[in-house]
Amino acid sequence: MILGKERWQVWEEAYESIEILEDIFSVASDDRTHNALLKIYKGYFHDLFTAIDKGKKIVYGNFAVPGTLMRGFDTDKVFWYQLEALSVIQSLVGEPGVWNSKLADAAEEGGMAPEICSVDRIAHGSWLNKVVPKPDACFYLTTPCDSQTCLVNNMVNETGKPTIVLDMPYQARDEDIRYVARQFRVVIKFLEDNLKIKYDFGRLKHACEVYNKMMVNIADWVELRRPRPSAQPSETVSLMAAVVTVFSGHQSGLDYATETLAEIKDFQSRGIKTVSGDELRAIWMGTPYWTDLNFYNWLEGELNITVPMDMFGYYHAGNLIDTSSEEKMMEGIARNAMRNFPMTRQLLGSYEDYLGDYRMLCRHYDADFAVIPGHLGCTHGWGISGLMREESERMGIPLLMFEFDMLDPRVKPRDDVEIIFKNFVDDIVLPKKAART
Amino acid sequence: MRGDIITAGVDIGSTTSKSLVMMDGNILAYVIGPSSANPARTAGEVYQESCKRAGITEKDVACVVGTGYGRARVTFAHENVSEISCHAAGAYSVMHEVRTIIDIGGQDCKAISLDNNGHLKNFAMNDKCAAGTGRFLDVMSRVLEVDISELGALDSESQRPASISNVCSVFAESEVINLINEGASVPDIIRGLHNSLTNRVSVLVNRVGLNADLVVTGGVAKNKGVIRALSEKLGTRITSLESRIDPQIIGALGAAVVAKRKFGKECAAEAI
Amino acid sequence: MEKTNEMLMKSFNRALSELNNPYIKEAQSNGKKVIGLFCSYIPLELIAAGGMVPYRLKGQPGKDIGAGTTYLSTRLCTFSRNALSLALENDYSFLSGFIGNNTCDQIRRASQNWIIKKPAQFNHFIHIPRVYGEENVSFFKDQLIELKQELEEWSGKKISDDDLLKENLKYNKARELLRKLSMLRKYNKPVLSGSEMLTISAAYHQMPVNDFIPAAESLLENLLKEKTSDKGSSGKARILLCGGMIDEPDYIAFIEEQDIDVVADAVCFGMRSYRDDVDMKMDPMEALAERYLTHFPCPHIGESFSKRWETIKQVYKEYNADGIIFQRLKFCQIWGVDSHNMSGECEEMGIPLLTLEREYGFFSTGQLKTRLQAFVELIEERKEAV
Repeated sequence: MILGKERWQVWEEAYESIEILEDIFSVASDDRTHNALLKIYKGYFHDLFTAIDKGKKIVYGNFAVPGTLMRGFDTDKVFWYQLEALSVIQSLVGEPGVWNSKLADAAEEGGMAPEICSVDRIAHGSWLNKVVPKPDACFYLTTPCDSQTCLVNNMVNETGKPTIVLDMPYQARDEDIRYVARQFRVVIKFLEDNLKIKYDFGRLKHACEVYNKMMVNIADWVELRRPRPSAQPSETVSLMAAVVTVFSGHQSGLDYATETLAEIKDFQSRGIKTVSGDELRAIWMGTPYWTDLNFYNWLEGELNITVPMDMFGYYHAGNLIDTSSEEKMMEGIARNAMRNFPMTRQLLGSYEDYLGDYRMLCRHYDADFAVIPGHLGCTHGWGISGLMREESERMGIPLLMFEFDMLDPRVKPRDDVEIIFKNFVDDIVLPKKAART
Repeated sequence: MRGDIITAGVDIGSTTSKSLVMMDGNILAYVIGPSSANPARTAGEVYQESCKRAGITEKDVACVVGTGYGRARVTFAHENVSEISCHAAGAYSVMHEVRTIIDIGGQDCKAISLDNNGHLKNFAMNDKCAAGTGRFLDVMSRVLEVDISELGALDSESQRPASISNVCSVFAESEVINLINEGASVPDIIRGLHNSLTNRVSVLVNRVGLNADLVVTGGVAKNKGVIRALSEKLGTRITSLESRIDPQIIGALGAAVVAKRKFGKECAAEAI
Repeated sequence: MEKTNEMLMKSFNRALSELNNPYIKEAQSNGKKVIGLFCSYIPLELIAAGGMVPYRLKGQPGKDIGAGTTYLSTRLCTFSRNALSLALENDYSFLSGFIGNNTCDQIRRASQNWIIKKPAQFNHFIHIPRVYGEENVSFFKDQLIELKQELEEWSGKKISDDDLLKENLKYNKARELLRKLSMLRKYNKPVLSGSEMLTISAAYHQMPVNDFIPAAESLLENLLKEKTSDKGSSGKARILLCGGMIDEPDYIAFIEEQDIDVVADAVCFGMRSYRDDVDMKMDPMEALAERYLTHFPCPHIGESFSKRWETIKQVYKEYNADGIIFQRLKFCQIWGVDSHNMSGECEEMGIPLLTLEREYGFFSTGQLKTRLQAFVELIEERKEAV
C-alpha cells in the first residue's frame, strides 16, 4: 500500500523492501548513507504516486537527462519520470533480479534482440508490461549509448506522445556546449507548448543553486574517499550515480550528499576501517554491481578489496553552474550534462576522456588494481577494452575484466564472479604487491 | 486399394530419423531410428522399414516428402519441405484446435503459430545456441549419469528445485557440477534444468504470440518435466498429444500430410 | 540473358574484387588520394570536390578477425571487428586518409582504435547528429565545414562552391542511375537480381564516380535494350531486404537460391544510399548537410522510425513485394532495438516478416536454409489463403 492505495505489484514490493530496510538501518543511526538513501527513495515513491493521483503531467526522460533543467517546471504540476528509475530502484532495494529479469524477457518477447543492454530492455519491458505511469510528453537525450538512443524510436512509436530528442555531440568544446544549450531552449519551448505549462527560470535558478551545493558536497566527499585505510564502504561509491541521476537540482539530492559526506567524516574521525586486513584498492571503471550491492561487502569482508572510487561516483566541482543569467544557466547545465555525468563523459565521445579518467582515478586513489566490469550489453565499454588493457600495462596496474550484467543476475551468477575475483587476487594482485614490497 | 492414396513423410533430424506411411489420413506405420553420418542411407533405411511394417511396397506410395535437417538428402522424395511447415501440418492434422506449436528438437527449438485454418502464421527459432534444445538435456543427463528417458520421472520427485541461473548451456554444465558437489539431489537439479530450459523456450513462444491451444512436439515433448515447467512458465495448459500419437513423429506425419496435399498437383503430374 | 549480365557486371565485380581494387589503383597512379570512410552519413561529394576519392570501408568475408577482436572484444559486431582487423594488418594501408564517425558505438570505437593504432596521413573524426531538427542540420553543416577546412589544409587544394556543385551534380547523376537500375527489379521477372543490385550499389561506394557513371550507363542501356517489356514471372517470392550493414552480395545470392527474388532493399550499401538526392538550388554545403543528415534514415537517429517505416512501406508497395527479410549482425544494437518496431508494424499490416541474425561474411547454411524455405512456404500459404 503506497499512499493508502494498491499500486503495481513490482512497485509495492520495492516499497515494502524500503520499509523493511528502513527498520533495519534506523537502528544503526550512524549508517547515514543508507538511511538517507532510503528516505529519498521513499520520497520519490510518494512524489510519483502523488503525481499520478493528482493527475500531474508526467514527462518521460532517459538516464542522462539533466534533472536540474526539469526543475524549471513547477513540481506541483509536472513530474519527471526516468525510464530507468524502476529498474534501478528494484535492483537496489528489491530481490536481486527477479522483476528485472522478467521485464527484460518481456522486451525480448516483444522482438528486441537479447544482446541489447539490459537497462534498456528492462525499461522497454516495463513499458510493455504496463508497470510505469503513462507520459504526457517525452524528452530524451542521445546519450550515453546506441541502445538508449534507439529505444527512443520504440517509445515514440508506442507512447504516441509528443517527443523531443536532443542531440549530444561527440566533443564537449565551447561550441558544442552552446549547441546543447541552444537545444535546451528548443526543448523548453516544446514542453511548454505541449504541457501548456510555463517554464520558470526563477525556479531553475533555485534548482541550480541546490545542484551546486550538492556538487560541492560531493566534491568534498570525492576527496575524502582518498586516504587509506578506507573508512566508508565501497557500496557508497556505486550509489552516487543513482542519486545524481534522479535527484539533481532536487533537495533530496542535496540531503543525500550532505549525509554521506557527514558519514565519511564521522567514520574517519572514529578511525573506522572497512577491511580488517591489508587493504587492496580497486578502481572500478564501469557500471556498478547494482544487481546485488552485497557483493561489495563480500569483496571487503572476504578479500579485503575496497573500491575507493568508480566511474559512476566521481564528479568534478569545477563545473558549478553560473546562475547569473538564463544563458549561463543553460550552458552550465549543458556543461555538466556533458563533462560531469558518468558514461556521457567517458563513453559517449572520444576515448581520451575514458583513458584519461582511468589514469587519473588510478593515481588519485592509489589503486592496487583496476576492474572493468564488462556489462554485456555495453558496446562502447567493450569497444575500448583493448586500449584499456594497453593503458593498464603502461601504468603497471593489473586489470581484471569480467563479463556480467549489471541488472540481470542470470547472465553470470554472483558465485561465479566471486571465484573470478578470488583467483585474480590470489594469482595476480597479491604476488605483485609482495614483489613490490 | 484403388482410390486410396498412400503418402509418406521422412523426417531426418539431427538426432533421430523418422519415417511414416499414411493412407487417406490414417497412419499405417512409422519408424524412429537414430540418425547417422550418412543421412541419405538412413533415410532409405527408415523409409523401407516403415513400408515393410505397413505391409506395402515403395511402389504403392504415391508421394514422399522429406523434411528435417537432412531433407535435401532424402533423394527419393518428390519434394522437400521445411520442418516448420511439417510440424505445423502434422500437429494441425492431429488436433485442429492447435494454434501454437513448440517443437523442441535435438539441435534447435522452434515456436510456430497457426491461423484458424491451420496456415502458418509466424515462427521463431533459437539462434546457434543449445540452451533451449534437446542437446542441452542430453549433455546434462550425461553429467548427472541418468538416462535421458528418466528425466521426466525424476523431475516429479524434486522437493526443492535447484536454481540454474546460467542461460548458456556450457556454463550451466559447470553450474550443475557445482550443485552436485554441494550435495543437491539429482531430481532437484533436473527440475532446475527443466525450468532453465523453459525460460529460453518461453521467450520464443511469446515472440510468435502465445495462444492457449498449445502443443509440444519433437522428442523432448516426451519429457513430462519439460511439459510441467513450460505450462507453469507460460501459465497455460499444454495439450498432450501423447495419448493420440508419439510427439516425436509429428514432423514425419506433417510431411506425409503435405505429401497428400501435394499429391493432387506435382506428384500426380509426375506419376503420369 | 544471364551471360550478358555477367559481362556487363564485370566493371562492378572488379570494384569488389579486392580492397585495393583496379579503379583505386588507377586513381592513385594518377595522383589521387583515397579517403576511407565508414558510413552513409558522410558526404562523398565533399571529398570528391577536394580532388580525392571517397572509399566506403568494407569488410572482407573470410578474414581472420582476431586482431580486431583483441581491441573490440567479442561483444561487438563482426563487421566492425573485421574492418578493424583489415586496418590493423595493413590491408587498408593504401588509404591516404581516414574519416571516422559515431553513427553507432561500434563504428565509433572501431574508428578510434583505427586512428590510434593505424593512423593514416589524414585522420578526422566527425560527429553525426542523432537527431535531424533544424538546429542539428545547422550544427552538422558546421561539422562539414570543419572537415572541409581540414581537407583543404592537408591537401593544399581549396574546395570552391563550384567544385562542390559539380560533384553534387555528378553524384545525383550516379544515384539516378542506381535508382533506374533498381527499378528493373520491379518486373515480375526481375531483370537484375538482388545480389547483382547490391554488387552495383556497393561498387558505387568503392570506385571513383567518374568511372561508375559510364559503367552504370552502359549496363542500363544494355538491359533496357534487351528487356523492353515485363514478360512472364519468375514465380518466386518477392522480398524486400532491410536491416543493418550488409556489403556481401553472396549473402543475398544465397537467399535468392531458395526460391526468392530480392526485389528491393533498405540497407545502407543499397537503396538507403541512393534514394535521395542533393538539392542543387541550395548553397552546396547546406544542401549536403541537409541531404546527408535527413536521408532515408538509419535507426541510430532517435525518433526516425516513422520516416524509415513510411519509406520502407512505400518501396514495398512500389516493388510489389510479398514479404520482408530483416537481417542484422549479431550485437548490432541499433537494429536490434528497431526490430521490435518492425515486427509490430509488419504484424499490424499483415506483412510476412523474417528476422535473421547473422555474422559478417559467414552464412550458417543449414539453419538459414530452413528459415528461408519455411518463410517462402509461409508466404505461399498466405497467398493461397487469400
